[in-house]
Amino acid sequence: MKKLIRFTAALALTLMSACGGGGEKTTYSLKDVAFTLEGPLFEGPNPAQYTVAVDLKAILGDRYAEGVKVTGASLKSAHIRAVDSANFDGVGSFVVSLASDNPDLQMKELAFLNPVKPGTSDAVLSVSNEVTAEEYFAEKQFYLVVDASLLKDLEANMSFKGDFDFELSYK
Amino acid sequence: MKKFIVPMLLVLVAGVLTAFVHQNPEADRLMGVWEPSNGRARVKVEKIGAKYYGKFVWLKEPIEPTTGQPKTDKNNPDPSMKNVPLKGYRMLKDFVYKGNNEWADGTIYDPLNGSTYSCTIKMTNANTLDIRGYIGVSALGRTDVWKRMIVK
Repeated sequence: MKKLIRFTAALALTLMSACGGGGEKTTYSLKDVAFTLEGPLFEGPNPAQYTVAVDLKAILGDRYAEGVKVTGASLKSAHIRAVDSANFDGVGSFVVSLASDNPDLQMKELAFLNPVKPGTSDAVLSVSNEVTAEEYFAEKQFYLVVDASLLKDLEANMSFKGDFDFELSYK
Repeated sequence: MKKFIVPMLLVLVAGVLTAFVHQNPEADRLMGVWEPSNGRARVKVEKIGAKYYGKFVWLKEPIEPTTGQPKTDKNNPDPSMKNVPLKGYRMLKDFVYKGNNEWADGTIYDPLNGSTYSCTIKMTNANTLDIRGYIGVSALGRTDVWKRMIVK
């Protein structure tokens, strides 16, 4: 009977480990990512993009080992900040997506803020509870796209910075 | 001096090559603003990296009658993303130019039911697209004709 209980417990642990993606976890933070939308800008969504170079050695540091792979990735937080004492008056919404040149990878929306309240200069976005992005961390690079939807035309450039925290599982 | 010139030239060549790789005038003809046959929306096609994406830039009925607020992606299968604004939503995603006036490997999203379908785009002339959405094989699908809004 004890053997059966031990076997069942071991099997349950194995399944839990497999279902949870297994391995270790770490946080990968992109801080102060600068985005500029070059004016004139028109009412509606305007995309800005940043190329993320995936370097697992740099991300994992001492924990890096040859052959390590990211088995799970989800965006945990996304902040977008206005620069130069500006605020986001005139911006209706923000949407954060990932895109890749790899034909096998589909663009994914990960976070948004809708509407952006007047006077906001530090926008805290809602992140998706379901969308994962581990396949993007198998690429050499991918694009982090921020769409700022303007409520009216804007003659000037628009600059902002973003902080993004991903939780990565790896093994 | 040579020590500096050679690396600088290499960097310059690499930059030019990178820019060249993502520029394809034949493929870029897809960019612009298009209107589906029902006239209820306008979709702007842009390029991100090497692929093409189309987002709603105009909706004939932008306001949700039940709330009086701008429409959101209320049928998104991910409950946490149902409040993403519909205007600006990318309903065409990840298209790659295959030559012969055809873009493929992409998807089209129908916000009326929250479904995503495989899709191919055929440019029949400079201002007309055949957009074919399908499930599984292309034969089992439906084609819609889109017109360019700013005629070239």
